[in-house]
Amino acid sequence: MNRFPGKSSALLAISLALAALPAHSQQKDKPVHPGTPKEDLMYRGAPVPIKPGEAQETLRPKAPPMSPAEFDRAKQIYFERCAGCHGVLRKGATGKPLTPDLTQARGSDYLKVFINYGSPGGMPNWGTSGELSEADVDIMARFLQHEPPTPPEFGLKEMKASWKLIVPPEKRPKKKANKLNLENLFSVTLRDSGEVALIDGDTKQIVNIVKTGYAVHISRLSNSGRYLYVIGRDAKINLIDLWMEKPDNVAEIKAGLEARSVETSKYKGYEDKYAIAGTYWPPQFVIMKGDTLEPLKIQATRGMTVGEQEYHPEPRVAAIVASHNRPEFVVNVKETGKILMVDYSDLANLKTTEIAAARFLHDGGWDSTKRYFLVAANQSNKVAVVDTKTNKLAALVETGKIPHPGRGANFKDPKYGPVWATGHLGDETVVLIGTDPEKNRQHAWKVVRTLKGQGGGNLFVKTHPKSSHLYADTALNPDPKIAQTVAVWDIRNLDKPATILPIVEWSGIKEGARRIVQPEYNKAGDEVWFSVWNGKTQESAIVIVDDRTLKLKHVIRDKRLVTPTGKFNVYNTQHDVY
Amino acid sequence: MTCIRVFTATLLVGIGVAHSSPQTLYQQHCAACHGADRLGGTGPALLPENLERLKRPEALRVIREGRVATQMHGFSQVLSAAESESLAAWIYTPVAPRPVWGEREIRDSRIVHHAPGSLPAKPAFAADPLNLFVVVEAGDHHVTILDGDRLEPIARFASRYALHGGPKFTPDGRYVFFASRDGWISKYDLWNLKTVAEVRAGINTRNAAVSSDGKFVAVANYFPHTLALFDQDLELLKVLEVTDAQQTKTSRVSAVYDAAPRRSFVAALKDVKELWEISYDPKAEDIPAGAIHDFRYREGAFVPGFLNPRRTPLEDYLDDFFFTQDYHELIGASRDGGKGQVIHLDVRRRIATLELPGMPHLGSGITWSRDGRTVMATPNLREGVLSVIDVKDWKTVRQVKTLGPGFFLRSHEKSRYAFLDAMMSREHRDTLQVLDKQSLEIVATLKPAPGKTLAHVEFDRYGRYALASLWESEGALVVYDASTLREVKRLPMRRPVGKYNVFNKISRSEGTSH
Repeated sequence: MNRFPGKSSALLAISLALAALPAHSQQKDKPVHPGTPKEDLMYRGAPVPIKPGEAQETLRPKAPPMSPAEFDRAKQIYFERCAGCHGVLRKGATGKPLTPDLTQARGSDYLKVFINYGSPGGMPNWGTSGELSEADVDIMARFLQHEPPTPPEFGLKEMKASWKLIVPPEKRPKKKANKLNLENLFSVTLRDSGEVALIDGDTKQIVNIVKTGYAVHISRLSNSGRYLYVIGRDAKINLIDLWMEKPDNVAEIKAGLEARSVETSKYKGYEDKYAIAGTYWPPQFVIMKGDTLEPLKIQATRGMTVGEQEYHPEPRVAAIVASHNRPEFVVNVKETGKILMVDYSDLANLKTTEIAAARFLHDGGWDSTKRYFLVAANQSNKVAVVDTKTNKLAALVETGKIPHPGRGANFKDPKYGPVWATGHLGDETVVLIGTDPEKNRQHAWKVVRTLKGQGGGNLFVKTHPKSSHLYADTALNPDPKIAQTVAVWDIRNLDKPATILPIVEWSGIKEGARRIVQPEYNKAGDEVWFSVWNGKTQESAIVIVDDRTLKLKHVIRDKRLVTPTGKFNVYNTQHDVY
Repeated sequence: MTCIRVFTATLLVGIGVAHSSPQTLYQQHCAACHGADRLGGTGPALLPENLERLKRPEALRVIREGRVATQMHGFSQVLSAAESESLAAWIYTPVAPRPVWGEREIRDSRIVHHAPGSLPAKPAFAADPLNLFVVVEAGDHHVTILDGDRLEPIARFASRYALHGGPKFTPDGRYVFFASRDGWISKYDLWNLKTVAEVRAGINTRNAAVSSDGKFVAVANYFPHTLALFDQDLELLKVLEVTDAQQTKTSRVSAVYDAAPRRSFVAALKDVKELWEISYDPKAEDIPAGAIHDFRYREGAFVPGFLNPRRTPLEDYLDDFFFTQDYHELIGASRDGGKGQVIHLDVRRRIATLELPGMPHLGSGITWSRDGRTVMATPNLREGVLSVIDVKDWKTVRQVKTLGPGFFLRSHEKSRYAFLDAMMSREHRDTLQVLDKQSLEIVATLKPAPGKTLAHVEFDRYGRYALASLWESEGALVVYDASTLREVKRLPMRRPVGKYNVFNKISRSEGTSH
């Protein structure tokens, strides 16, 4: 194997000069390539600012030959155009994996056709749109058959370089400068346009569309409810001040190259003080100043796995929640299977309690008391339960196939007492896990009930303390009839089969995949909002259901609602109501 | 009350008998052969779908006078003119409730004449088994097996009623599969000259395809809206309900083809703007169904790639098309005509549009090499023109003017000529034109029987002979020397609508469709 460390200073200097230009001009929203819709560029090709010389690269003997210059060029294109979907390590994400074992079997011609023409699965037509020249397409087809170069690190210097304080705290309103009922505001992810829509939950009107990173993964609120934090898959974090006359960005930063999670400090005395973001690449998390996003402390997650105790070079950070019991963030690390209780009371002398759970931790939420955190280890079909009072693993619960709880759903089962529910990507069940070791010890941390839903492909379950309903979407189910409807159970009578709500029919939208994704309650807990998630060029909608009657209440149809997915009600998100 | 009801019922029956309703007449005179449910028996199915090509006056004539050389005798002595007319009208009305032809019906219909392995694994004759011709004679629903060297028939047998689509061969050339319009799939052992197994895959069927490894058979149905998949012994593997991706609409299947290098079947749909590819590779990659949350962790819905449809969304219906020799791409004609679309089967989208005047018959397109480039040519069902297209850049090389609209175009690797008919024209349906594949000039015309339709050429395996059909009930195969273009022999046949050379088919010769 040949190695091109790219450390020669002369080569590095040239690469820097060549690379810096396009990466910058693109971030300023300048149409780099004619004929490409801007949203395409933002979503599909979210640029990852890697300078070619910085990445470690390995050429593979069986792959078609490449010159170092071609390899540099390919790397630049890959991180600018491809990494957003295929992952910085080419192991696949929303796009297919592109590792040499797979790409070499396909060969250059096959790869070139895809790069040229794209596919109905979502791959853009880089060649025929004129974005990549014939020579570039050829270089990319060869590049993909070599070992992926290791992407660069992203430390304090890089973060600070990306950090923009758009409105400093002293220039922001001293008190709420709008008449909005902020507690019932919704932050709605517009996945493919790289935006969030802020929607007034009372009037159902769009208050503002705010530019963000692409494919926003989640929105979170500061403890006070004033600041909204939004993180894209490209690790860009936007801080939105809801007190402004028209709520908008006040700061932004890139926390890395690829990310999924953001959270804020919630413990008494630290309200609104810190924000934290966890990244997929580099494998680390960063604690920032809450009102400016100034990066303060970066901590790597590389280390040993649970079980086999092998070194893992890239354990990605999945969900992060803020403890209500201690000044701690609960950081879930995917590949090592560890839950890190990060004490933010003294950043200079950072203390972390490391809890061994199970591998491939994903997402999760609190039980109703907010003492226990339940998180899915979705490749081992388990839910790990952490007691954040004792900072110990309380239990590992076997679930169905590939649990995907979102934040889960808490309610009182008439027979088994307080439970937390999760659905599954891999099967049709929704399992209820007992969460009350005090009064219902015999049921605690056991699956007490299994509800039969419509099918696999569930992304989110949801209920509300004031509701007697439990909703489950089936957004990723291959059967359109199932993906376009949701199941709802009466939690006072769980033996009764689920009622199926024809959300798509109610939306009035006739064309497209129209997947129904993510139920979200309003503050009062008497309305449930669903996204009718359609293709980027098709019409989408939000359907609002009256929770008491299970009847249609309102449909929001607006051409600005491009690919709405996750919706975050300010009050419920702020207070972890679910 | 009860008394009155009984009385009324009796009265109604009485009226029925007096007027001989078509239902009654059918059960009395037709059901024994055509089935009590009209789904067919020894006689063909009598359903609107299956009678699409039979004009109503012709149906009435058949009822009155019968069909020569079949078991259908005339009923003019038995039925009054009015009764015949009412019967003829009634068979064009749909059966209610709609007949069901699902997995159970298909499995129950299977007939094994000779169990697998029970017949000798060597040819029962001296002729070259790879140079046989299978000749479909539609005149009396028979098949002739012809020795391609001696140009002599070695067997002739009755087929199922109205064979539809070309017969398909296993890669060793031993077995051939026939599909009939009424859905019967017959597996015939060419080495032993025997039908070994049969199954009814549908009620109204378009064609069948056999996988390149000989292990799978796919059947395209018009009714019901299904695509049925069988193993090599015609045991049902699964029935695919054919709908669009959103399951809002079902579709007839226009045709299914084997895409050998891809180890898959490709199906064209009549009523849905999709193209289906069904892999018969047990190791086929899973099909992501809809949005995938994360490929790396398989968060999303995946359907096994083996024997499940991978859909290509189309901008236009595509029910007649042509594969490039490597099967990466296909060309389909838009239904309104004028334009062709090139679909790439891997990226599953249109990659080029080309000019195709009239209504090209792409299913009959062939390719050859000219000036170091591969060209593709297709006859035209509506205009007297042959389009020659460069398959590299999809540009039209030439529009060759012909005598009239034609249906088939055939050649062979060893021949400098391609043969095209003008069977869709009134004046020149009796004439074949011979194209020089390099100069693209018409160099000869053949008119062996003036006034009689001449069409469908197939070469023998060596490219020595070109066999053309005199497409008449008392027709013939006219055998030409492929280089001198002189007639060497004429074999009488009953409307020989197609002939298929074993070697050319199993080697996927560039000069013939597959």
